[in-house]
Amino acid sequence: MTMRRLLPTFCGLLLSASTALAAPTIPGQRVENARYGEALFHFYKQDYFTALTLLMAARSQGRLERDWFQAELLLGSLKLSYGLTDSAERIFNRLLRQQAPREVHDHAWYYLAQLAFQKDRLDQAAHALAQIGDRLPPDFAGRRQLLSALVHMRQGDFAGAATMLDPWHGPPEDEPYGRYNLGVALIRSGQLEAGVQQLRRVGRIPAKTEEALALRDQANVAIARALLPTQPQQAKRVLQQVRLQGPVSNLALLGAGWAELMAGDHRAALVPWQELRRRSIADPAVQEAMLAIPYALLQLQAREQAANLYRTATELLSAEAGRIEEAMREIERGALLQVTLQIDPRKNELPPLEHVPGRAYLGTLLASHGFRRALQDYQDIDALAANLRWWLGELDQLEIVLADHRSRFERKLPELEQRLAALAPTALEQRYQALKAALPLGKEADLRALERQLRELRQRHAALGSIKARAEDDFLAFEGRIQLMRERVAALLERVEQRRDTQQQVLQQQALQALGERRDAVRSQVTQARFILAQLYDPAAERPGRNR
Amino acid sequence: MNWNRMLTLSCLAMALWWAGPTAGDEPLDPSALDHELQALKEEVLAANRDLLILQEDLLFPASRQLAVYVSMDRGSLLQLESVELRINDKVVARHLYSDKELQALSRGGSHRLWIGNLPVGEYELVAFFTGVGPNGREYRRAAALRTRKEHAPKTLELKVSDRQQKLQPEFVFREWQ
Repeated sequence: MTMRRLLPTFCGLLLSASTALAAPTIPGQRVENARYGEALFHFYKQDYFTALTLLMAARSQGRLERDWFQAELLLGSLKLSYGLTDSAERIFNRLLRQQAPREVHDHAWYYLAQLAFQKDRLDQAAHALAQIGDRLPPDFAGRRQLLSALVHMRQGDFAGAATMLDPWHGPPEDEPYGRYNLGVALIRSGQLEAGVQQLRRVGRIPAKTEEALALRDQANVAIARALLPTQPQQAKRVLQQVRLQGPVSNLALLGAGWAELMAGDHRAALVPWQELRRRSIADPAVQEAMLAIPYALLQLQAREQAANLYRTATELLSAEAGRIEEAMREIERGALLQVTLQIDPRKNELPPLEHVPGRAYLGTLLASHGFRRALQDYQDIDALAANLRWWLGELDQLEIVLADHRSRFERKLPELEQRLAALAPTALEQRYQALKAALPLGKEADLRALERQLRELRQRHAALGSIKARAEDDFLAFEGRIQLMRERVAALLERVEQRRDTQQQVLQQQALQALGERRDAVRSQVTQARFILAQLYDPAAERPGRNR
Repeated sequence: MNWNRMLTLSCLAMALWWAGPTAGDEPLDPSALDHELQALKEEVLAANRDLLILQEDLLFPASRQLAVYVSMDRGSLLQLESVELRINDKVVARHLYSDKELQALSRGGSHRLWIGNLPVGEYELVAFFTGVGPNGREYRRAAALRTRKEHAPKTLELKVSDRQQKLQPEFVFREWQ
């Protein structure tokens, strides 16, 4: 299931401004440079680190001229996915100042808009989006629409968001998501009927996959949420279409109870809530039902039954608050990290939740952009540390190779020196001088052939002599480079390992905060239940005029 | 019984259904940590780049370097499985392509099949391609090139493309500038 597209739906649009990578492609452009082609190969294999390193190396070696614009776009998007927003921004801005094809500028504007949105610079994001022309490929066109809608929504302009999403320009397989978002935007802009109509269409799509079924359920929950205040009966009917088992089934059961209650049928409200009560108490919807059931019973004058259920709720919820605290202690001991390291934050799959402490409350956090960004940073740092350690070993190997080159050269040196001695022009020079002195005046032309030979010999001798000097220089230069790199890598490794510990704390803090908030919410429910219980057993509460 | 209060409390409880989980309400990025991390990552990436260049300079000096890349232009007529490269009849590289790699090739990526050192001279390169050809039949073809290696790096591309007229795949060596 694509969690990224589904979980944020509870509070709005289905696609947050994601760091997921799409290749910036320019139609009709073929790869002209081997190094760029190699980087692309690793990019499409999703080996982003190698792709990034190869591009950076090729760039500094001046080997990207023919694919410059595409390579720069790829470099910028890779840096973006590595969280290097500052340098990615510089790359895109530089591309915009260059005479690049329109497609390149459109991509650059898109990425700049995404960056500005991530940094909450909404006016800047809106400006960048407005600059994009019509040269983006279809998958980018859909992303652009969603990003535009998100910018409008964050600016409080829901009608504008709806306009951005209609009609859908992205890939057809993403059209239901586009429609869902359109429905939510319309409802939030006050166009209830039009919004519900769009969501109904999503709610009726033929669904076979789990992802499609989940989206359909999600759409029906969104419709019910919109209709509940004014049309509870309608809301109830829509909720009946939600599956009994699914990501939003508990929420739907809870809503169905409230719909019955608002329609005035307290007894009917008990049916979905009793079903909920049989489910795991670790779900916030079940926790809410624990209080909602006795409330409905009170409305039905079943005071004693209600009191018993409030008492049970107090016990069960207190125990659950204790379990959340235990999960928090496990996280403090590092249990979360062991599990979350199995998640690939650049992909959309749901994380393996079975072994996550406090898993029922952390699903939303694990799916959130903030946590995944922090996790991705942690994994990046961890990979960088491993990479640096690998290079330390590799530098040892390079030293061995260099020593081998040197010893081979030294073995060849006597032969070289012999050839040098044989080529020494001294004898020929002496012969030339003697002949020159012996020749009568005006006959110098006869020596031209000898002069040419002498010149060539001098050149060959000098060339052979320079090999020795150049080789020595090269060996020394390589030794120096290896030594410098060894020092640089060792210093960086120390800093990277320190930063990894800090990043671990960042992740733990986020999880602890989410769990702490939930624990407080459960404790507050316990307090509510106890308060009501106290009132139920307080005869004074029955006295007329008590409320005044 | 204080029913008003009871109703208020129950309405508070309803908040879960009205508001839903707050998936998008994320804490703000601590900007100092973020900038520090960006700077550190940049430094490591730059070191990695310099190490890669150092490695290549030492192991494959420009004057002797020869690299051979495999690329694909559409390539719909051949389901490539493997490529073997021989230089002067000696096998120097053999690669079995995974689905992911084939996808990367078909989208424009180039796979570096071999990089090595060759002194100045004449060479014969032969590449053997195997896979599943048109009509689902086993397919094996070779492409050959005689080339001269001078005192400069040389990069060759082994391109698999479709010859639409004959409905057969085509294999061509070309020098990459």
